[in-house]
Amino acid sequence: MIKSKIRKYHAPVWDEPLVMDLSAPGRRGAFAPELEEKIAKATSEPSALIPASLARKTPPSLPELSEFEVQRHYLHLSQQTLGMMGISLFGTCTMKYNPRINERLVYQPFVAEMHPHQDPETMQGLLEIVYRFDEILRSLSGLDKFVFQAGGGADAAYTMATITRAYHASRGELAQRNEIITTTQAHPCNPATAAAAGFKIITLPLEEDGYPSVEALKAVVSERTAALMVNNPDDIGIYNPHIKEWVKVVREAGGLCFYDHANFNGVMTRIRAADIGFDACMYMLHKTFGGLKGGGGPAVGAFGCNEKLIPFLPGPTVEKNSDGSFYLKKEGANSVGRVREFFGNVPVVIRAYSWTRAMGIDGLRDAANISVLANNYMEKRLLQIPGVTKALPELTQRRLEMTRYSLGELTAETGVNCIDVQNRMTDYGVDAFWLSHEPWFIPEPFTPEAGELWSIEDLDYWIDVLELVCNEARSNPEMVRTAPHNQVVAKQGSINLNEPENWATTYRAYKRKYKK
Amino acid sequence: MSSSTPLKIGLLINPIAGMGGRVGLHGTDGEIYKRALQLGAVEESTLRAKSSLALLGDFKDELTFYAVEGKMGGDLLTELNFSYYPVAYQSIDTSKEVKFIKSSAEDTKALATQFLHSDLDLIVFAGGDGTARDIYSVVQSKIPILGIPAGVKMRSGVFGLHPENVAQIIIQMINPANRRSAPAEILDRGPESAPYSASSFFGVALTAYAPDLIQRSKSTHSSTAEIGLAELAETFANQMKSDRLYLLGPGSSTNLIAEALGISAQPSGVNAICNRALIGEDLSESDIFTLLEARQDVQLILGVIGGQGYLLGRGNQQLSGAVIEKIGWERIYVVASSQKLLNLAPVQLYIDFNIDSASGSELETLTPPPTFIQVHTANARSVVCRIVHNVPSPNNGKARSARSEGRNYVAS
Repeated sequence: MIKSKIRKYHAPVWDEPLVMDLSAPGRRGAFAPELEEKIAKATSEPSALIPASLARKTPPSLPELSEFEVQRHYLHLSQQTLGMMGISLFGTCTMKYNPRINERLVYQPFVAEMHPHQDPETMQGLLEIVYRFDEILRSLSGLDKFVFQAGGGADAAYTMATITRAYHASRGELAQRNEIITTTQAHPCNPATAAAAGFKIITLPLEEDGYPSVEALKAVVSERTAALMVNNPDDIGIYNPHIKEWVKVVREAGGLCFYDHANFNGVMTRIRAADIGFDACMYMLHKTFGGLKGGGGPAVGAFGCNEKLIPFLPGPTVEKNSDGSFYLKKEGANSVGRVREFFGNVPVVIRAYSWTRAMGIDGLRDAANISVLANNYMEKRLLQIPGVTKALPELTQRRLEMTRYSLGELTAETGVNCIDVQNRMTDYGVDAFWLSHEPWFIPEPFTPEAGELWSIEDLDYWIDVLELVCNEARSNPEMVRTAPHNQVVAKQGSINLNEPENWATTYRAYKRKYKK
Repeated sequence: MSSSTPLKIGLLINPIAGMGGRVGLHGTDGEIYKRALQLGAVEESTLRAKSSLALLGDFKDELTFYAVEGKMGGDLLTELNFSYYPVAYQSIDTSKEVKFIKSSAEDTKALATQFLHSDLDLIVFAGGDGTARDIYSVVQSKIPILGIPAGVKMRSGVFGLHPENVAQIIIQMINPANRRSAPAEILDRGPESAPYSASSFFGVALTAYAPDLIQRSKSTHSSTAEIGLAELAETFANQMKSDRLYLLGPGSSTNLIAEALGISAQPSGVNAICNRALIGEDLSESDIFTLLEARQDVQLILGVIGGQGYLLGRGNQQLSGAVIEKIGWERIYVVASSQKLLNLAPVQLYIDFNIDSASGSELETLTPPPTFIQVHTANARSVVCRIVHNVPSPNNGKARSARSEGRNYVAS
């Protein structure tokens, strides 16, 4: 039953042209002053200062606009792209508020204007934050060292894959140990990065208890096993209670164990990777730890490991001198080298450090509890909506911070699928929901994650919008199929965006592809 | 724009397809059709076909339609101002109310037979899996078929994702360079006794080549999985050992290996390859035994029946328990797309050897299959699947019930 007052949202639509198409020859935002006569006489023609080999033959084709037009253009673009601050329960991404104070902090010159090649003497405060955050994550995981070089979760998984390679190579076993075991529930970056590092991938599917059996794991573990890469709980919200035995089986066979902690939010302060027996783990600072995310840029996959794997870590690492000062230690001879530049995306580390300090250990525990509670509250209400079912409904154990649902019944009844529903929900100011990693194993999946941020009113509104759209799917399926109707852009049909001919990221490419 | 060779399309609308969905019935075969009408069902497939064909108005000169007068296509083309070549087919008066005989299957097959003689580039139909099956039973893989989705639940790989996609595919195919086809499985729901989610495999048809516009099994996102499988087939073909006998089980997945070798073989049968050449096609059980007698080094490549998970015992009965016993479980290499596997719920494979095998071999004499088998999904990628089977175990295996049949099977 719908509880909330549903908003009549409408996005700003400017139909904004490309900046190149707004250009008028000769129009300028600012004019450089003429050279004073004395200076002009004392120097040669300014363009002559440019070496002939570097000078352009033809001037660059830049848009020509007044300052006001530039301001207006970008304002319009920002309204069109960032204008919707609604409710985002984008599952697996753990959507959190990024406190403004942390943004102000990282814009300060002592962060924004630092350069990693500076003398460490001149960045002691910054190094201290990195070091202290390493200590915080060590205590949360039980592991012995964290590095922040990886630019995201997949990069951290790749770090693991390369460390696995280096570790077995150092023991002369790399040729023999060429298999990495994962599950269908692990994020696709785990098999993908393992394959990129040259391993064969063996994937275990779910069995009747909602996770692969120990028996299946034992059937594939062998002297060829290089590592196990898993998450737990998984995206359908189920915690594998046999995880300690899994780790034991793999470690006894000589393999390494990596805990992809993408689903850490519901278990923060409750379980520690090292206590379970894992050799390494990964946290996403841009998700669980309150850093911002997006655009493949501002992210950090914090990679932690035990003593055994420290020699293989990428460098440089931040270390502490006996006098309490901090220094950068170059990577050692066994290191995998670098997976990205320097010692990581420091502004994200600072945000995460600040967020974690503000939360405190009790705050983290509360956040974990609230995220599980909120998900179970949502589950109770969502399953009352006709057409919504839960993935693996026969399993009775409580889901943790996420539950995966299916709109398969609604689709069978109305022809409206989960992507149509996703599009239509945005018409009410609700961000597109997460579907499922691929390949899908349940029809028409969607996966909301409440986390600890959203109020009960927000959760109710989100649920109400879904219910409303399910009702619309029955009363007016065509309208839902053609959604969104109140958004900046309409449905794009089925243009295949895997085809490079269908998109352009530069004006030159745009001209080549569309203005032939 | 003028094209030297207009695209020749045979249009077939199954006017009663899809009527069950809105009224909560699965399909409109047989008696269900009457019930659907009583419940107030509407002619969904004509509406779907209209929303697709209406998008082709600008391309009238580039398209040549073949259709039968009346509800099975002609009326709609006339309504949309398309001219068409009337196909001489008058066994049933379709210009009036659809006549209900036993099903629309006879009409569909009769029209498909006419299409066979019309030198078509493509058959476009509006209907469901039943319609696809009926057309396929006549045209096999001689003409690509492309479905406007109008059934209750489509399983076959010949349907556009939406009616609009079908129009897009047709527009693409106006350019002769884009008139490519791809194999696609024809699936329909399993026997009455099976749960609704079970599918049966009927063969491999041709459809238009448009990976992102055509429904692949039940998900819209499987093109990566299929590319992975095709790459695996290439690799497998390149690494085939000389003088080894390779037996390819039925299905489009195993047939990718034959295709990678440039071999055109009947994908619904068991085929034999040796030294990169086809040495036996559509083999019977006794043909297979004859081949096995002569050779030691053998590998059997099996696919998985989509939606159902059968590895042996369905659609490949010629690969009997006795044949497998002769080959040996360790020489079986299973290939399937990861998407197909994960669409199985649960992800396990079934083996149901026929007890009345022609060779007379008793189940008790067979070596039970392994508990788990690796299914290869792409280069260096495999998924480990539990095997549920009906071979008695010499040890006390834990009994499991196979969900698709409700019979007691053993997971050794």
